[in-house]
Amino acid sequence: MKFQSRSQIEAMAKFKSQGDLVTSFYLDTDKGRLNRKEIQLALKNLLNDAKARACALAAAKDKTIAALRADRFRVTETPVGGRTVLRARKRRLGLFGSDVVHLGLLVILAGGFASGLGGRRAEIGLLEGETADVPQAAFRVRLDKFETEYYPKGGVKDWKSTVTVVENGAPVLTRVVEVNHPLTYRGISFYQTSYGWDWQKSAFELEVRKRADASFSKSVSLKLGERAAVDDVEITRVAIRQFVPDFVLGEGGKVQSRSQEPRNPAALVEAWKGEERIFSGWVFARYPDFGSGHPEGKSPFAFVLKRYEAAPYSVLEAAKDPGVNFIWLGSLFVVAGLFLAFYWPPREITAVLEETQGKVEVTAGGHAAKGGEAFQAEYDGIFERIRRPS
Amino acid sequence: MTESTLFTVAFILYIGALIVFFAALFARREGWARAGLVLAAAGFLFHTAALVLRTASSGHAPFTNMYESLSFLSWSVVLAMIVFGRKSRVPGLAPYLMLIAVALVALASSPLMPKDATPLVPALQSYWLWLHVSVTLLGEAFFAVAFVASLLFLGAGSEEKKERLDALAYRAVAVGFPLFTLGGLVFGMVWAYRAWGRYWGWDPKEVWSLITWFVFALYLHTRIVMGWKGKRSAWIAIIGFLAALFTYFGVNYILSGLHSYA
Repeated sequence: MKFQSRSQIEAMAKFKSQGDLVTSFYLDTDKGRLNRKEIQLALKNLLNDAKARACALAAAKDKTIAALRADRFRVTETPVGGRTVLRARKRRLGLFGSDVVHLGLLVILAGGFASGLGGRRAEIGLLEGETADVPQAAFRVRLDKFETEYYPKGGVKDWKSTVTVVENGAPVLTRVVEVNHPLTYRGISFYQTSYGWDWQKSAFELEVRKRADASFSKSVSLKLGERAAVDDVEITRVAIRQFVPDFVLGEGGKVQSRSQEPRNPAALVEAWKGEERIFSGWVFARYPDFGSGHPEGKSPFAFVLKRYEAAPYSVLEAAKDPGVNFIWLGSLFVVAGLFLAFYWPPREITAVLEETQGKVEVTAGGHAAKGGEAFQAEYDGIFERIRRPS
Repeated sequence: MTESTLFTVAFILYIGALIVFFAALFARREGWARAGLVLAAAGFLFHTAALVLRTASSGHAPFTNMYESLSFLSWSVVLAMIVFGRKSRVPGLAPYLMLIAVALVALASSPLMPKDATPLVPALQSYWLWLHVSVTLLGEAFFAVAFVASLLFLGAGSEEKKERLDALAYRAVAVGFPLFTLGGLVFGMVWAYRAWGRYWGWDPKEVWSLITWFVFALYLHTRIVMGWKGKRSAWIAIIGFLAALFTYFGVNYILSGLHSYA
């Protein structure tokens, strides 16, 4: 080997270590002290040594990086002095989980304010064929059809309202609104919320009997509050003053309806002979004989509520909620942030590679914000692989 | 096999697992605990089959009444027990979690609980039933893990054991809290908005879910931000699980509201 200048040796050492390690030698080239052979030998040893060191360090570095990358770490390397610093990170997004959650909560709060300040809701009761104004909207809704579906064994399966949106007098769209399937039009949603029968407009048929005369029977068709003629000398007119579909006596003996369903239909019947009121009492459709044991039973007349019919109506809730999209956006943030924070915890490993006395020393430390035990296992695994001779 | 047979087999296997777990705990035999885990896993398979069969025969998600939801909750607790019991080196965890699961199954099979699959009322006919209830109950099962770990923490003697139990309770809350938030609150809001037209209505169940959520949020904040650990954290986790239990049982039987069907 020929004599080489210092700069040449340095360049060579640098090349061997791929630019990461600067090895410098001081070579005494004063020919007066060493003979040429000795100088060449020393140089050769030095070079071999440098080569070996650089290779060992480079190999150790490659191995470390490979082990970290195998566990999906992103590795950056920085040479610091004579050492190589490897910084490995993964799941960096998890760092922001908590911020995302709290941002989401603020968005939800804003949505709540928007809902509270700008939200409007109104119940719209519609009989079949009826059209109603929608509060604060430039369109109307019409109920085309309303049906209640039952299970074969009883019990309500579904309520279906066929609704048409009418805008400027012209139908725009027709949809079936069911529970869980609202209709949304121009920012207003329509929900199936309730139903019932328009009992106040019901048509009744009342049969009038005389206790003394079994052959006497007269049926009268009438509406609520209407006085209908019976055409008899003893009883000239009858009327239904009040009707409840599900009769129950409330506090203080007050007559109430327990529900909208015709479970115990009862009518308050009044009868007149000329201008004299001769009867006033409740008549129960399900219990036609109830009156006999009643104080009214003394009346010479008996009444049977034969028919009570009312049109079913559907109650839709029209709701405008300007905050709801904020709520969904905020919820998305909260949930994404929580999963990032707790299911995607960031992990970081820093390793310093340094060679001392011909050996490469790897000093490393790890850090995980959450999930310490799982990280410990992963960390141990990585360094086990590095330690193992390849 | 019918659904109720499968359910009974699962129940028997769970009781077997429970006995083996406690025997292992008191006799300090780790090998027995593994046998217990096998029994519990076998029971879990039968239980899963029972749930699948019920879903197939009723045509709807298997959590529409108290019997069904108790069955599903106990299933979730066993699942959480298998997930955590396999990894954690805490011997007390599996027996006590199994005790909770068996208690829930016993409650579900009690004669007071109507078991017939009833047709769904209109409000429950939605795929959100699946998402809302299953994810919520799964989250609550992990709260149960935190509850058991916290109770064991309060009773534990050695520092090393305490440290493990404390870490375990935290891990369980960290797994359960996002699930509970997603299933209980977010999916609940979405469904409420579709079915009732509002995402939040201060229904008792909603209020108590929010209270539960706040308690566990407190747990996480005191721990992560303020560095609370050990005893104080354990108490918060216990209170949180009790709040979750009240949301689940108490609201149904004491407070009536829109959630009164399940």
